[in-house]
Amino acid sequence: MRAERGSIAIWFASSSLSVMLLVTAAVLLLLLRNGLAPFWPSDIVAFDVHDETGNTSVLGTILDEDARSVIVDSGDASNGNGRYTRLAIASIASRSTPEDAYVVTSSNGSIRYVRYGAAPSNFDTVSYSNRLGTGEKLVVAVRQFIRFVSTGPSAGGVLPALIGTVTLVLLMSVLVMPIGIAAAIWLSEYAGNRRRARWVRAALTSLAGVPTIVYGVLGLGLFVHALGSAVDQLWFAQRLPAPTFGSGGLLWAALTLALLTLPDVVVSIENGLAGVPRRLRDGALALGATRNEVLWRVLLPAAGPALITALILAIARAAGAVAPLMLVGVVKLAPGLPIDAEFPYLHPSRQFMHLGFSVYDQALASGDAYDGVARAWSCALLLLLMVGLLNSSAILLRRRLDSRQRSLDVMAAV
Amino acid sequence: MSLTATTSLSLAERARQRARMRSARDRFGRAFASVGASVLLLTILAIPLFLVFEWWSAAPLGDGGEQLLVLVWGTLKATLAAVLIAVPFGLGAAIHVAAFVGPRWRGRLRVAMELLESLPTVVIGLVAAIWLAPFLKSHVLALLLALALVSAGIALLARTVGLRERRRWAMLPLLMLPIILIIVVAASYFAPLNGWQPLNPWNAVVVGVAMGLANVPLVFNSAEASLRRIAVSFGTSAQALGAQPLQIIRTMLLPLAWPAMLGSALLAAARCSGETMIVLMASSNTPLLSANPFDGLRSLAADIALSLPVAAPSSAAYSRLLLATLLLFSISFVLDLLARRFRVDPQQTENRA
Repeated sequence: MRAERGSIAIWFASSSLSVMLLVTAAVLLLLLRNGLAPFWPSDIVAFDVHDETGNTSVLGTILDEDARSVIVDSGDASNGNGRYTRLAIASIASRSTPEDAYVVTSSNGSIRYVRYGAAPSNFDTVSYSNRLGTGEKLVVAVRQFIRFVSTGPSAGGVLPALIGTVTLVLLMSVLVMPIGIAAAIWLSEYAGNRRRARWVRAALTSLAGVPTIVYGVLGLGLFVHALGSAVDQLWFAQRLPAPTFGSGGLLWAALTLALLTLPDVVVSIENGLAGVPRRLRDGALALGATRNEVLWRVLLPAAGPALITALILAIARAAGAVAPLMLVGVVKLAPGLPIDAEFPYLHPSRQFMHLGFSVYDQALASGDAYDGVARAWSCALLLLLMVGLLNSSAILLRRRLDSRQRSLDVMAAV
Repeated sequence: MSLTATTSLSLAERARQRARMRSARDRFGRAFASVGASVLLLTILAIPLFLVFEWWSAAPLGDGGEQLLVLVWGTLKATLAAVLIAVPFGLGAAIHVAAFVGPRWRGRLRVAMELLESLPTVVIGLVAAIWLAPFLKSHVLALLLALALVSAGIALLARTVGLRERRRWAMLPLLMLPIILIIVVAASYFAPLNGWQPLNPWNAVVVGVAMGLANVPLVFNSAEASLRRIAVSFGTSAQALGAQPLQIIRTMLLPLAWPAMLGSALLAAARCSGETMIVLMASSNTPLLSANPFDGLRSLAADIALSLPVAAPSSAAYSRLLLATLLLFSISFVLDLLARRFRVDPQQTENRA
């Protein structure tokens, strides 16, 4: 059978869809595997090495292996020459996974591999990795994961980055929602089709296309340098020249992200308001309600799920935005948390840590390349989980919103 | 008697008061709303005005102009590389979905695309810099071989297998899924052709592949929406007149939808030109003025992210970075504006046809 004209092109078009499905699946699998791998207890291997310097034995876990050499993580301070050892394959006389080897993780996150003798008791955790079955390994992995999300960087965890991210997006939502609701109300209720409405709409669509880093520059120049130093001179003059609000911090980062997410928020709230059936509004107006009353008593409650969806999507977008933060206050290692038990509890002028920035920083600028990359994958997985949860709850809400809209339509029709 | 009189009086008074309060609230609500709208207007005006003002009052540029040229070149190179990947894949997927796929599967495919779109760019940058770059470095020839094999396979299948029905077409990607997977995996396993490797693993190709694939959902979404609108409004009549699925695509869908497709390509270009994290992580940030796709590059956005935190305010470097921001803003703004010019109003399409 002769092929139809143009059919090859369509075959290619259709195949590009399968390529995209493959890419999506591959990226997700890669993230899942590399993000979880650091928590899985790996076998402790004992190497007997014969080389020109004589016979030595090396104990540790295998990080990487190719045809010529093995890279072994032999733990912190086990011998004088650093954590990682490269062994030439040719020099390895034998290797085994001894049952009596164990790994000691101390409370400051340092790891030692030990063989022979009874386990010391004053250390935090001792694990005989080679004796564990799959179930027990799973338990260890879960424990390591919990440790990862609940301790600070000195103990190998990411809790400050997690707290920093959550505080930042919460502060951002407090800032963006009132402005977003106001702008959406103006556009859908008061604007009509006047010239000013056209200008605002043009501003809305243009803002959505502005690169995120440009918001960062705006935040740095306008908020940090201009507004921040003004605030410092007015209220924190006694601390100058050390800046309080005059350097990057939580508040300025949250404001920057609020501007960044504002267009999306306005558009989705406006869509929600437009989705409320006209008859509800007309009915309320006919009963003598003022425009304002219609808005707050009828339209906004009916569009409630749309508001929440808008908020969740904004948070998801903000949680993934890293580039602008690099200019307005995110740091590698912050001395204090942005939120703690000390008055005034929330510290808007403090610098903070952020999960997304940790991904970048640990992957490319970590002192310990192997450890850093592994931590970067785990941070990425955590960030992805956060964004994924937010996005899927937004999708679920949107579904519910659709069905509710239908019932509202029915109500209005009756 | 007198009691009822006073109450009715105060009732009238109270009603008046209440009316006053209600209208005051109404005015307040209006003011609140217009404050929100003004913030939007102010923000879009503030960005260019602030940048120009700051740059005007900052230190003179010095010899930063040449550096900026290299950065603009890097931005354009990265954008072009990404668009070359994003547009064919995005448009291909969009054409397939709009032309053949029913509503239920369309929803599922959109979810898959949304999943890819929801990945934070820093995560994509991580995958590109840590996994993709070394992989591409050692597998460039193998992947080219796989690409050639897949293309040849598709062309061969298209010549021999004739698909007529829409339903069969719809299932085509599922058929191709294992074939492409097997060929790619086999090529990367059996041909670690080490004959030639790029010197720098973090090059424009890696940036293009990572940023391009990350922007496929954008192209897909915007193109699919307009393609489907056209398919819905004219597809049924064309079918009723006896047109085959491929005829519909060739004679109706593509000619009517090309402005929309151009628009989505421009949209992808606008987005890629301003993208920071992927380029920052995967491009090695070397300021080179080279056209070689296997050389590194440094884009405007990456340069701002790297240099601005360490630039002292009112230094020459700071002034150069402000100019870089202004340039970046203008490039993406113009591309965005162009993209929106091509976005076709469905009403208009119908009238023209």
